[in-house]
Amino acid sequence: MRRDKLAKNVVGIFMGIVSIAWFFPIYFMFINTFKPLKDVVLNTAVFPESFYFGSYVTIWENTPYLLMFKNSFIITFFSVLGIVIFGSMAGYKLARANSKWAYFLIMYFILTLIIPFQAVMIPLVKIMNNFNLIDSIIGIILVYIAFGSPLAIFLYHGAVKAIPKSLEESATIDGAGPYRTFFKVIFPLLTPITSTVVILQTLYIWNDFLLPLITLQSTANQTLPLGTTALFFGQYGNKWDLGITAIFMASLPMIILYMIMQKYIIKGIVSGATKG
Amino acid sequence: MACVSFRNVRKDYGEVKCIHDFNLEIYDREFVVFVGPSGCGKSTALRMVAGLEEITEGDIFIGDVRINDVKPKNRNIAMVFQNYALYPHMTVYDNMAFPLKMQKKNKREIEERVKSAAKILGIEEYLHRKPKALSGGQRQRVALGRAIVREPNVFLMDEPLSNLDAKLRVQMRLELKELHRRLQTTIIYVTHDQIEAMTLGDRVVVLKDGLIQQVGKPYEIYQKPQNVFVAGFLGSPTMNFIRCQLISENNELHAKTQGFSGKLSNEQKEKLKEYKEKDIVVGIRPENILFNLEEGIKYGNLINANVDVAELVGADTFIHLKTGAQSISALVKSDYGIIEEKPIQLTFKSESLHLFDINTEKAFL
Repeated sequence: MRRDKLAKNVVGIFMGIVSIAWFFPIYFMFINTFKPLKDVVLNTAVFPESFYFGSYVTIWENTPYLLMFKNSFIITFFSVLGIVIFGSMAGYKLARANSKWAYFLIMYFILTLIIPFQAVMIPLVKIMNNFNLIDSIIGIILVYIAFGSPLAIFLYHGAVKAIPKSLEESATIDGAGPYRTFFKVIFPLLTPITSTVVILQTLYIWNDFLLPLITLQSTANQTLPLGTTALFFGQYGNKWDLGITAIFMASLPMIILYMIMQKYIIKGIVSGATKG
Repeated sequence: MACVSFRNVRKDYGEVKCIHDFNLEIYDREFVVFVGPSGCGKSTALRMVAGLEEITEGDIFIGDVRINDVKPKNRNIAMVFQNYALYPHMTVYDNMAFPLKMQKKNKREIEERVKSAAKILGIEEYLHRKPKALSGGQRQRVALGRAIVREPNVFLMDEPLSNLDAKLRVQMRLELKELHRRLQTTIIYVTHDQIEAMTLGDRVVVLKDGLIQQVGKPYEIYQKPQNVFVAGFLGSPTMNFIRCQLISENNELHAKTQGFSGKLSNEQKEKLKEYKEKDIVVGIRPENILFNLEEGIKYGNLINANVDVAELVGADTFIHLKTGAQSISALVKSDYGIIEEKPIQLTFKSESLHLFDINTEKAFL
């Protein structure tokens, strides 16, 4: 018993240290948004003596921040929406279809998960070019949906298997058609998986640098990670004060999203693991 | 009118024949129970009425309407599932309102109907709760409630009590019977529990391997099972089957084997006169085995056996006996003072014997 307690305390202390270590970058980022460039470079770790809002003002007034934010938001929102809709419906249908083909398909989707993005990067750009999807927001959304769906299908597939079939049969008898059965009865029961998928994919798409870099060329289509890098970090010098502020502003929506969805994601990971 | 008729219904799953030659007329307001061991096709038959399984061949009618191609929602039926199938994310009220919402009824009517069903089932105070906050019995009431609000022509119930504990099952059984009396609707009820079948059904349909074995009133089936399967399936404890030879003595027919001798009644004798010297199967229910020896000796109905095990179950004692090579059981009053591993003599009435053909397993009477 005493050893258990000791082990628990050690783990607790360790976890405390880890969380502080994880917190520090955010803390540094946060305090440096309130410093002029000189202080950012010279006194990085020091808490600012007076709060300087110049960086925020400069970004707001002199850069197309709002446009980049809008692009990032549209791309992330519609990609995640697409992944959730297609992933859940496909996962549902594949879990319920009782055929060899369904098994083959789900295996196929799982296999695609092990292919790294970099391996398909060049053919992807070529194919997108053929379809006239380069430098188009719709194009990048389609690609994100394609890349995000397999994991979503896999997660939804497992969760649907745990839902008794009689629920759907009951809904059918009660007079709901297949779509209504799915959206009114099945989909609400998949909320934990949906929040897992939403968090994972939103984080990935919102922060993604590589795909926008190789497919979005014009300034009008730039996303936050891409635009921030292009604007503030360059060959002839880094505007650390503005860069840090822009990145901090970009990470705020993610922090808020995570705080809202946090309790569901834990549920989602657990329920996905134990089929419960 | 909500009669249900099955006409030459067949159901195959690929190569496997699940149901065949299924012909049955269920009358308006009747409580019919499908009973049989698992895999006998009882649930499949029910699910075909519900529209959850396609019919391979034959027709099913509800009233005058052939429903083979009618969508489940237009069949005006309601189904109660073994695992309740309540929508976990909806409150009890929303669960019960769901079928009415699908029918696009107006809000006031939905509320009225849900509340009145809740009142019948005594679940008014749980209407705002989610299913997970209810006990098994309450959940099953909600499932019934969801069926009642639809005011269906036919209720279909697929083992609705199997998930409940024994005590609650007895209570819900009574409530179901009461409910049927109150609603006056046709009910088709599926169970593997022969006690549920006997207590609930106006008529019982016994199924085995996708074939109807016997249809009749519970007592009728209990009294006159048409074959060995039905005889063994209904009644608890189950009927004893003893292989005997028919022997003719003094113008009487006796079914005899080692340790067992029974004289056939006149009616039985008449039916079996062609089976002299042949083997038959004699069935006798444990509760028909008696202690009244004088009468037994007088009529020549005797069982000489050794008591193997005696199980006291309250007023009655359930004794397991060995006669010759065969094992039989008997249900006797506990005050007889049975001693284990001692020889015992028992008797029975000739009328309580059930006689079956050894090859076809069909009853002679």
